[in-house]
Amino acid sequence: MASEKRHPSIDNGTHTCERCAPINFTNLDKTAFERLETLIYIDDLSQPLTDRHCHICQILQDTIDVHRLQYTSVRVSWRRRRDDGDPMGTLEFQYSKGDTRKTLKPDLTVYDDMARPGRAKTQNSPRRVDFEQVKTWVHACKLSHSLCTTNFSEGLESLRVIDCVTMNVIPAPKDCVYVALSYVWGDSATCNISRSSALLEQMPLTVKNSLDATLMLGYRYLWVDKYVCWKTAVLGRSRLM
Amino acid sequence: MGDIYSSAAVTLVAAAGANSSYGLPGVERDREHPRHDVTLGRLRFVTTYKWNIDEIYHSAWCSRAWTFQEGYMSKRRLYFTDTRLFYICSQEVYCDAETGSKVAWYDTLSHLSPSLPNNGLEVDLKSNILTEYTRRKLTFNSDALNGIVGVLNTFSKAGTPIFHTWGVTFGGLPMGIAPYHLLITLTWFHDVPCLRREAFPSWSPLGWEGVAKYGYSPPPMISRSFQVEVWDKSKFIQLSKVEENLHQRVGAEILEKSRYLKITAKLSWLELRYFSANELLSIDMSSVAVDELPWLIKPRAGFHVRVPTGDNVEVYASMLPCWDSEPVHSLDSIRVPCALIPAGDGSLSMAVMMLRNHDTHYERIGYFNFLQTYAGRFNFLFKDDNGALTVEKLLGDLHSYSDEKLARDFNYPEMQTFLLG
Repeated sequence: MASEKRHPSIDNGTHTCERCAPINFTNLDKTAFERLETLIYIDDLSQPLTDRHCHICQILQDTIDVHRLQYTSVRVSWRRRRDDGDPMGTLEFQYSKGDTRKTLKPDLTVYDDMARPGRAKTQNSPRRVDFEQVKTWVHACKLSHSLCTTNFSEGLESLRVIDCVTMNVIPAPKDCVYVALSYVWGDSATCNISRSSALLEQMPLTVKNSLDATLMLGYRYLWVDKYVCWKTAVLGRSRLM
Repeated sequence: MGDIYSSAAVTLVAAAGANSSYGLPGVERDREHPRHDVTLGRLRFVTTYKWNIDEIYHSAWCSRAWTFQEGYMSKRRLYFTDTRLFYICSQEVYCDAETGSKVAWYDTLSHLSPSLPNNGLEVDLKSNILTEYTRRKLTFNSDALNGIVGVLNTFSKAGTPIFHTWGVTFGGLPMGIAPYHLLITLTWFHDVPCLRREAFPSWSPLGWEGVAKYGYSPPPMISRSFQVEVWDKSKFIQLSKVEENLHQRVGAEILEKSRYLKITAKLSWLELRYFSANELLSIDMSSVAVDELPWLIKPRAGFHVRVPTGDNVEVYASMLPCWDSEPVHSLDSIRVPCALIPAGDGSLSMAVMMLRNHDTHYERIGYFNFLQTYAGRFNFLFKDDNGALTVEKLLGDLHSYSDEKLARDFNYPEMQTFLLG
């Protein structure tokens, strides 16, 4: 990813640059609750603010990047959360240009790994979706949520769905249990949906992925507008921009 | 259309990328990871901005009007973002980046919450969803009602039903909150003037291409001094007689007639005067006590509403009205027919709907909220006989500046019955 390529030097060493060294990170847990403590004030965002070996700079650079064009300065503050904090607190960024101010939070969340090793809640999602985990969510929902019950609505007799096993567009079977796709078509080329044999080649990636996701969730039928001409007149819509 | 989503076992939401060739991250292609997760000593820094649920809110999917209904009507939603997977059903939120998965409900939803059903009390009669819906982009103006009507129709089935006409909701608050009052959400406004959707009535947020906002005060209530009738089958009927949504049995003729509300309210011609930035520079601030200065709102250039206090001194509300369409700039002073709607909270404040006369009916062109008892909260612009401008905070109420004119123009203008289209 682009962001990783820009910062090849990140490791878990402890190097900090001259500007960042005085920041008293060890006392972050001693500040008053919910009070903003200024850590750094950078008054000229047009200058590079990065020592490429400094961890603090690296983090700031990346978080600030998005906004630096619109603003001239930034104040980085620390706000401590609850005592049993998980997370312990957040860094907040107040950008300004003249009288214009904008606070963004929380850009950076800080966890105390020493006090609660391994307890930090946020973790990276797996690179690929774990559909087995999703199935446990759906299962729990089906078992215990009265508000989430779905029924095949009477008005949908003429519903057509994609059979993800045979790849045909078929009239929905009686009491069909199906997955629906909600997406934006965007500005991709106009599509002419014709015969099911050509279905796959014509499909944009989002629809293709949805077929896989449907099967991996343990379902067989998928409803995608455009592909399952369902009373086109009633739909009366187009996603084409 | 909404039925298809509410009947689906699961709805896959493509909340990443700008178009349908982007795919669902994490299905065939790897997802990105947060840019930073660095441990310094005992502290672990994790970038969270953009990686939380706002990622859904900022997606192209969430910027489109049509997808509002699709997400809202669904029962189980699986959102695919660049970094995460969220599962939101009617009772739970899960995310695959949290150990233990389960995350809190309302805390978590943030900006996304108006796009999801909410089982809480509805003192605003669901108007927050109109704000969210009008924020979103609509490709075809003619779809403005179709894109939300499925959602609106679900509210009429509630224990305390909320009906709507052209997206303007009306109904009572649930029993037990207050004595039963019928409220109607006509008091929305635009922060900036916007374009008109001619096919829709001007009194509906759907009649305009801008974000419709609602103030903090409750929607106005139907009373003796403010009555609203809607078209039903063959005649106008009182709001309180409405038993089902008009748009559930839609037909071209019904739609054409239902574009009009028959309103009985106080109608008064108010004067608006244009103050340029230059003119406002001449305001004498010397009379303002130093400790008051930070509280004074600097009047901005634009049309200020003249308070009908009499002729010895001209008084203008220093807060500008919110225009739906761009006001005419060629004139210094304009007189605008205004419908005065008493506030829903029984106070002396008034919702003022600025209108334009179209011979057979009026159309809405702007809105402002007018408080007769400002009690030091707002300031006014004064212009004395010599044309000198001062700005003052009112200590009592406006009546102390008034001869009979205020009472006559604001409190006892004639009740009129007119069509609003």
